[in-house]
Amino acid sequence: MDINKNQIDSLAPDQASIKAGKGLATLSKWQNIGFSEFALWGECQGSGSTPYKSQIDTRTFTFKCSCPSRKFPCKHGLGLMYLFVDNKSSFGNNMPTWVEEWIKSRDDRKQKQEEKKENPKTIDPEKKSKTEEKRFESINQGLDDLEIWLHDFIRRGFDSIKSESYSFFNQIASRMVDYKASGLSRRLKELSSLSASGKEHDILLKKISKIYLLIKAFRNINNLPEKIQEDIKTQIGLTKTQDEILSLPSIKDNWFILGNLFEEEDNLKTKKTFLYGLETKKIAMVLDFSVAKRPFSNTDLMTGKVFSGEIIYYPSNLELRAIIKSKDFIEYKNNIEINSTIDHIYNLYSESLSKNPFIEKIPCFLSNINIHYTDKDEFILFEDKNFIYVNKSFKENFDLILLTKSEKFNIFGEFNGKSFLPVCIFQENRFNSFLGDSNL
Amino acid sequence: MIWKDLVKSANLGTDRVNPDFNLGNDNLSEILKNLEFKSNEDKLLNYSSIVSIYQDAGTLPEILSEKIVLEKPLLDKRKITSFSEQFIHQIFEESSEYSNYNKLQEDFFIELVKKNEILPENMILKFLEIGSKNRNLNYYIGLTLSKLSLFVSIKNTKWDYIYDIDENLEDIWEKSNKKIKLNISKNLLKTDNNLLIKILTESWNKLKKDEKEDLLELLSINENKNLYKYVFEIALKDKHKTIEERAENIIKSINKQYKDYDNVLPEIYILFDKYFKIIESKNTSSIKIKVDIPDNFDKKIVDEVNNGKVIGNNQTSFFAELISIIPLKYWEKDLIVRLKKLLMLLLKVIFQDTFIIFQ
Repeated sequence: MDINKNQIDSLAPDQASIKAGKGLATLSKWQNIGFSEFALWGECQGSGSTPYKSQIDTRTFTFKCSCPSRKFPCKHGLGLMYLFVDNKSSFGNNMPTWVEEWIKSRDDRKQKQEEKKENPKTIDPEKKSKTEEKRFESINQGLDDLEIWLHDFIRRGFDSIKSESYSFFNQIASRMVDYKASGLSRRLKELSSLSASGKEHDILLKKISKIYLLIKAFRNINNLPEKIQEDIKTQIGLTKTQDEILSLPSIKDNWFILGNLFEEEDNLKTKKTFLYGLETKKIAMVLDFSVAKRPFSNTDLMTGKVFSGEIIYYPSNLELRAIIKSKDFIEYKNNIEINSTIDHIYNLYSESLSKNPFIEKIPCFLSNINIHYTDKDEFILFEDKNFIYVNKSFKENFDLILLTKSEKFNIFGEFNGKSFLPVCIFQENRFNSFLGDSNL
Repeated sequence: MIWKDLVKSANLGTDRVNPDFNLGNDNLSEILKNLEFKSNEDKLLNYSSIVSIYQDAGTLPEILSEKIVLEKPLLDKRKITSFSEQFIHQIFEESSEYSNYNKLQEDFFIELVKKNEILPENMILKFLEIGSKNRNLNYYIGLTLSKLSLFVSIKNTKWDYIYDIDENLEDIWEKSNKKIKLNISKNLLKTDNNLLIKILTESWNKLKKDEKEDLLELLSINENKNLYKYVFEIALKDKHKTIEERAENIIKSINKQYKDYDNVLPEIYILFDKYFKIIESKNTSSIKIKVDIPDNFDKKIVDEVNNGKVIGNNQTSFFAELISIIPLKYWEKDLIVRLKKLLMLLLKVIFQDTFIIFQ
């Protein structure tokens, strides 16, 4: 198992778990520790009479522990991995039955999943078309309703929000869910976070006009190119199933895992993992979801690792979201060559918007920059005469300054047209990723 | 310019203004001129869609031409004087006559903290080791580490005791001067808010006025609900008027979205008068409050105030939120002073996450 402590950190659900896990990384707290080619296990004495049985499938970094923690992975799983990195020689190799049984059940499940991937479910075109037709009908009704609502709002003016109840935007957002247009609902919900004082009215108009454009675009969908049709459907809330995506052509490359960003809305946590194709130079974003604190499924996508494999992009005029069809982790010691200026990312943003006007942010690289703070207490990425603001939701500015020691570095992150949210940095032979929230 | 006109028309509404805009001869204007509309609203929204995307995609942001002043990048502005550095070698050398004299080392660290000096970075590893073995020193070492050293220590499990709470912390607090107290508070804000509240609560009456002021200033930049509760319960009752004012300012900054309380205040007064009757007792030390709350209280308030824009989280009581945003001096200005006591009670209840007073 080739893993370092930074990579173990990136598996943790939060900073507290990292600290607690490191606290358990002493031999005195463990018994019956062992490892094999694809598993790691041990028993850790907790507060109860019987020790917790902790086990890790090291092929996918899937954790299982008998402790009652709702965190995933728990501190015992992380502790066992930290312990292994420093004390490999103290680990035995007699695999106990409880580990054997678990690994076997995982292998069985994996085989079934692979069979499914190889033979994706055939979709009955007639049934699909009927379902789609029904959904389109419902969405069209929703769009009529929303258009009337928007016209009424514009007629009365934004100043009228002051006399509306706090659920003004949420009510129409809920109606869009009923009409099966969840994408529109999300956009409407966002409006309620804007201040009614008038200072943010230009943002309100910007956001509302995007919604209006989406209504118009959906009504005109049949006259648009196929890939743009897909983007509009996605924005409205009509997404393709995994089986549908698996039947599309894949791209093979060695994919560098750049880092993760997390977003949270209500009970749903989304993990965005960014990949970079070393040959194709393409960026891809893999989404993983966790509902009600359940674990994410792509636990083996650790930052800084490289896998050789195939990914499939969701159909779009601006390819970004993808799923992984196959992966085989490989050794890769070099850093990524990047050459991208601030001017370049503004141009890239313009081009991206012209391909898909509904996107809000783009992933991109910046090379040879410094981080500075200004007299206004803002952080900026500085490149000769140009600069770009670091997004305010980024909390690791200080770490970034210390890591780079004021020397130039290369960075990857998300740009929203105004500010840049760092995901990872490259400096000579160093690679560091950040664990950030992406609420731009 | 057209964008500003569009925002202005959207603010006022097409019922009040006709969305007529002066279009030029540029490419954007040509596109806009050729659009057809069903209504004024359709026109305004269509124009806005196109202009906003043009702004994002078609032009470079003005930000690039903005002038900014760069602060010197990195690291710690604090330094160690050459005298301190010489002395530090002397007292921590193993062969030194001072090597086992912990009290001297402790006093030396206190001096460093007072003078806002930091330990030399080339000796960090040595001090982190010393701190991990010597409970009396480790807290001071934490306070005298440079930002870079602190970063190193956090990343290493062996030395992250810097962020652990020392059992002797309350003793250290007792004998510390203002500067050290502020440093301890800064560290606790990052690590253990509850311990900070405990220490502040227990020692509040013993603190000097300027210490209280500076501590409140420090708390005001930290948006933590538990700290606000502390401010409400302790600092607002302080005998010094200036301390009370600072506490009020913190309340005011609870949530920036509540800036508009001036507008809603008159309605709140009317409502308050309607539902709360203050009955003065002959015994001046007691106040009876007659509370007449309808069953659907929150809803009714929402309807009557009819000003939902200040609502943030619909899970908490609407009324509670409104009260919490209004600084005490506004209440005092228009209502009888004794109401303040009721308000204190309300605030206390609010910050216990329930609203039992109305049950």
